[in-house]
Amino acid sequence: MRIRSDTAIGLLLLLFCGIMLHQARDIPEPLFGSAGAAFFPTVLLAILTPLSAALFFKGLISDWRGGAVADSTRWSLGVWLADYRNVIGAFVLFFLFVFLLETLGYMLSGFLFLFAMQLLLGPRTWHKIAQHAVVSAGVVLFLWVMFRWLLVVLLPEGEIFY
Amino acid sequence: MWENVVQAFDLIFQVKLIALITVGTLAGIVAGAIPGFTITMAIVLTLPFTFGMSPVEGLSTMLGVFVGGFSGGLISGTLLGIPGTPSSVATTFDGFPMARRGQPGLALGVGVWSSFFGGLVGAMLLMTFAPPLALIGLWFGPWEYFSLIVFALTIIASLSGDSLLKGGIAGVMGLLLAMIGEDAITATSRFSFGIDDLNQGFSILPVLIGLFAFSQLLSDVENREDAQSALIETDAGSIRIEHWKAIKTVLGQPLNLIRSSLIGVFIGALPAAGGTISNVLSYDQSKKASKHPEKYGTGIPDGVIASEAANNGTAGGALITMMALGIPGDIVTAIMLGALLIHNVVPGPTFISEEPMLAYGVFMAFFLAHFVMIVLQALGLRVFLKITRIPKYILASTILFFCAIGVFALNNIVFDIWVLFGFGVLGYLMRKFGFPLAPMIIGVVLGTIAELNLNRAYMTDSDPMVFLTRPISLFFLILAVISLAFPFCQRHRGVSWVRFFLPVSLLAISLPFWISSGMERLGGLLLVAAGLFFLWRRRAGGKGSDVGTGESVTIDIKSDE
Repeated sequence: MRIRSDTAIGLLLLLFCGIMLHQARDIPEPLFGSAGAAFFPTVLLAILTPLSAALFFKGLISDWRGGAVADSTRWSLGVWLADYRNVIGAFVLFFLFVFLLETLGYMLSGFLFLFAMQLLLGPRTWHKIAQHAVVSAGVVLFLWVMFRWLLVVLLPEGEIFY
Repeated sequence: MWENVVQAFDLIFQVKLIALITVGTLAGIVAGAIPGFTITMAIVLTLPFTFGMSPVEGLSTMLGVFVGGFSGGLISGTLLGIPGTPSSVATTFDGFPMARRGQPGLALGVGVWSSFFGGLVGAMLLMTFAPPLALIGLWFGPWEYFSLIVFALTIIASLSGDSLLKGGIAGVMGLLLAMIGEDAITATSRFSFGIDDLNQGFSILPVLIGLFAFSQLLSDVENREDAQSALIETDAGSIRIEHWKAIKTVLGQPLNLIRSSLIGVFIGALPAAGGTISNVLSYDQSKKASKHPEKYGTGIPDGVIASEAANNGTAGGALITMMALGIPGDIVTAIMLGALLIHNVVPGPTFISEEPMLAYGVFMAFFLAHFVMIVLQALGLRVFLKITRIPKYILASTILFFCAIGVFALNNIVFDIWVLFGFGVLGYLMRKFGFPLAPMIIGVVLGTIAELNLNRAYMTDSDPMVFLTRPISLFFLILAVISLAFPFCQRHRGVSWVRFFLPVSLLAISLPFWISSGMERLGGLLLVAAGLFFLWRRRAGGKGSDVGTGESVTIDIKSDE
């Protein structure tokens, strides 16, 4: 029987509630007057826990009811990666962009990020690659002018040029 | 009041503010015209630009986006049959058939002018009712505020498409996320897991942008072919809006126009409801009230008027609740509330009296934005359509980058971009697994306010029964229970007990009026009388179900406006 998403998510949420309740126990008790910093989070966790349990059991019941139907499609990592290539790639590129932002600086990391994103999501003919580069440079410059001069916001300059 | 209006007029009618409203409205129209972009995302993306502005400038810009967005949604809805925003769903029912029949200019004109008049009604009601509602809000103690927030969350959860359970989980999670960081009363650090950056909690902006914009953009480019296609493929450069004919058509249906506008304002004023609901409800009511309901859906102006007047009226209604009570009327005003908090302005019952220039400035900016919208729609339709031909992959990459830099601009710390990334992942997964984002957003924005009021209530009187003995608090809590029960009743319409939902609800709502003193008891009497009347009708086998009549329209707010 394949565990469907509601069952798995319900279980994860229950785990989350457990971790948060454990953390809530470490919050100091109030000295006087107020309900304390742990009061409202504990109330919320007291509501979230049964809701999560309900989702878990709802998923479990759906799984049992659907269990008689043979699941002929086997899950494949390769197919999954292919289906979600754009999304996973975008997340990875964004992660790298943020990771390298302070090292490479706004201009370089921004240009690389935009260029790589357009290569990932868009067409890859030579003409389009040149377009991607122009668009990336244009957007980076435009936003730099907007934020640096119009809104007076300092953007990271990077460490490698120092 | 008039003195404040005149002074606000002077404040708003300056070149800089008019320019900001124009830019905002333009951005809103473009954003609204792009299916899937959403007004909420446009408002969220506007936020970083407002940091360097004064509160009135920032809010005026966002109001322009708000107004423009509602009217922009009708462009793709009419020309392509794809609503630009969820608040234009019902516009497509008749707008698209009109366009296909060779009347795109009239369809767009009717939509634009209905938006205009509906918005004006909303603006006038905003100026009229927000100040007295704020006075009523002064009666609110922390119990009432907390119960109102609970009501807001239950409404948004109960309208969460297929799953009330998932909507409830999302709402509670949103409230819990707001608890991370220091407690507002005792400054005790909570749930930081030893990470110093988490001691300050999450800034609202990266959370909002991550949950909405980041996840939406990635959903849009998930499919390779879609990512490389233009937003709108059609070339509609030759279309002209038929203004005079449209004005005559719209003003020739005053009842439809006024009713739809009022429905929009009323729905907008309900906490956490919005244009997504009002346009469909208004269309439904217009059809039922029409002498020729069979023509709806075939391409008649009546349907377009109903939908567009309602969705722009919603903006005014949502602002009434936000300005008067500090509770967001919908997701967009929730973000505006976040923006006001960033500017150290706290909306609430005393907001209008303590900050009259800002409050009336907002009213006037909202009013003015509708005139700007009309002018822009008349002059710029071809330009808007050209922008929608940009391939999604370029737009998505650019906007993601802009989101990151915009979020960085808030506090100049990279941690905020990491928060954006984290919530972007969370938002994407929530969309994939059927969890609505709206309850989580409302929860995050209102979480701190909810805790503050709950703590104040406890510090004043630790007896929890006070929530039930104070009439206004009890009223909101009963409404919360009713809003939770409503989806069950909708789904089990054929079951016999569902027929008693309305009379039982009316009897329950009368209870707070009975425990009040004075003239409020008359209200209780009327509600009991109405409840008993409907109960008698049901028992006697009265007609129809009391939960929706005839062809009800399912409202799904998994996607936001």
